[in-house]
Amino acid sequence: MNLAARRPVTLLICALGGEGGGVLAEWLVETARQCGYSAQSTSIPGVAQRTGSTTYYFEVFPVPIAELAGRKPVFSLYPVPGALDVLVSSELLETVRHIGNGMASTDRTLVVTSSARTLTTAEKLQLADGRAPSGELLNVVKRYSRDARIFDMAAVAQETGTVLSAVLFGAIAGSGALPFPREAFEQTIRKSGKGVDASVRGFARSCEMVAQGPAVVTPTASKPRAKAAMPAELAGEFPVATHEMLAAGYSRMLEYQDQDYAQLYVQRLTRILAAERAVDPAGLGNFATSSETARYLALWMAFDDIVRVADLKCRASRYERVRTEVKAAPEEVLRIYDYFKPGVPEFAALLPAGFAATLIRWDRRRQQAGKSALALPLKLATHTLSGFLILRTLASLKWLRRRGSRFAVEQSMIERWLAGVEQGTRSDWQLGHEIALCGRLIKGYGTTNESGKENLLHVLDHLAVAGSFPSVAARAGAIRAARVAALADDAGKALDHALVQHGAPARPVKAQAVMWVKKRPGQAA
Amino acid sequence: MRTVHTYHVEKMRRTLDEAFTTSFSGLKVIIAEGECQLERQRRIKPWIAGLLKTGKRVVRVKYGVDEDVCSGDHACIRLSGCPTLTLKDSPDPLRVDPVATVIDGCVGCGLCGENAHAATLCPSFYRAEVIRNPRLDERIIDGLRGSIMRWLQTA
Repeated sequence: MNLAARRPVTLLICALGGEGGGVLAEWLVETARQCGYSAQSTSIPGVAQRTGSTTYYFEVFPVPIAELAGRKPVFSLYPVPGALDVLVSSELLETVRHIGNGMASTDRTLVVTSSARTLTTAEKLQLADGRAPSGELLNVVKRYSRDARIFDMAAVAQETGTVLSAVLFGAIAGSGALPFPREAFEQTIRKSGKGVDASVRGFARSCEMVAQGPAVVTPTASKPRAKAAMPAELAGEFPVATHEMLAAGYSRMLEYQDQDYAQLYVQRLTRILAAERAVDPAGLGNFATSSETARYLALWMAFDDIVRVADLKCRASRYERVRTEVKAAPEEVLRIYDYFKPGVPEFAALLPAGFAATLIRWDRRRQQAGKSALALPLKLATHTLSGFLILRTLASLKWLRRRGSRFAVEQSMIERWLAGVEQGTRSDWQLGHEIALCGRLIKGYGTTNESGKENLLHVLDHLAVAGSFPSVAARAGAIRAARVAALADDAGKALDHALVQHGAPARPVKAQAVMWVKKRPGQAA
Repeated sequence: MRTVHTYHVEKMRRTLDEAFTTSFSGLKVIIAEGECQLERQRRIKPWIAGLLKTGKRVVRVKYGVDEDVCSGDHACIRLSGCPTLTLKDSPDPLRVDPVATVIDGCVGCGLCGENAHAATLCPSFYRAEVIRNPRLDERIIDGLRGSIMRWLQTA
């Protein structure tokens, strides 16, 4: 045998913290040792809390030590791009990260990866949806590997009641890249002596899945959502493309307030639909403007206030959901505590306008004097009768909402936005559509919600109405750019930049209380 | 000199404010202390396993986010780097952006809720205490509460 032509089999494993990558590397070395092969394993730690995986690099010389006649193979300490036989990874983005580093090659590397995602902090902290689309990641894996085996390792680990290291171990065994029989791998698990049965189950499942060959993997589709019902005459008035949002919005209005409010919702939407039909009678745009307006109008009209939150928190379905989420068995007792911190604006929201304005002014003056905003921190034991009754009582204050100051303010803002959508649509379909989509800027509670509305109205005033643009399309483009920028950072710097770029003024600077602390003379530190 | 528990965010902020604004001149020391939650898990895990084996009462704490109260602005995540505070698709057909969720790895330290509370973010967080092997009186009270609440509750 020409030994010089043989090279070590190289394997790179990526695992996140707590997944047992260290144990896995030990198992591999142990298996090689038991089978009489020389092997070496090294590792490079990742960083804490989902900022990168820890990698384990493993090399084994595919000729038993006994046949080497005393000669010893020389191993590499770390992986070299393009010289990998197998890349195994428990997380899809990490796989792609290493492919991006050039580790995989199309002529040599078999990539075995989980399709499961553990979101990175950078993806999570986006204001909108910063999650990397799995479909694109999967395409990278398929394109830059000799062959790929993709399955949800996290699901296999959960179903078989074991940890990821056992599943990864099974995947490596199943790949057939290492010169050891399956029994040798299993033997190593059995000898480890901890949670053996579950580990062997997870190992076996994953080993078989990989050995089977490439399966067709589609990114996990989101669960089908419950469909809401709506009156038949309503369905007749609106095109089918808008039905999903319309039904959801209509039932939300009924649940949030009453029949009158739902009627108002329909009236408002009818205006937008009429405008859209005027510019696009054939429905070439699939009535997307009406559909998106139906979505964001419903969310805005059902703005979250004390009454709404109390109502959501004391429903029977909510108690059931918490029970499932925390995995409480039927014989176990569950206690739920809710944290509320209503401030002056939340209370003022339910009061008549005059009284509310006085209260808000008083609170603002306090804050300008350097005091912290007044708020009532509450820890409510929702599982007790008294806690439940408080929520139930608050939830029954729907009638107060209509008379409250916030209701009037929200309605007038909604009207301004709707007028913008309507006028925009009448001048150009695309423009109306972009303005309708700006409804996405409004989310959150308290100050987050306030600034979202301010951003929306600012964009509306300065880009949708004022300002000069060479064409309507340019105007629509500017609004789209501003919307994307507003969702890019919550401090609003990107939005201001986008506004100025399109000839609109940046948002007005807000006064902030600056506190000076005097030190008495002679006491300077 | 002040000693503050690191997990009491509001109290910590007040203490820092005080340190910057007090008329006291001289060295000001704040001792911020709180046990590492992973270390704590390692410490109590065998102890809890022992209690459960002998059928003793054990309280398990987990935090969560109400998916219909969360509006998906992710402000809580911008304040907390907890690996178990992550995102999932919103169950609400009207909302396009994902909502925050607490996954199974949560050890119940409560920092996510503390942050949301201190920064007055939103009322979406809840604290759940699951009592395994509850006492007889706890079971009876729980049963009574359940039946009265079911009678008063909406779906």
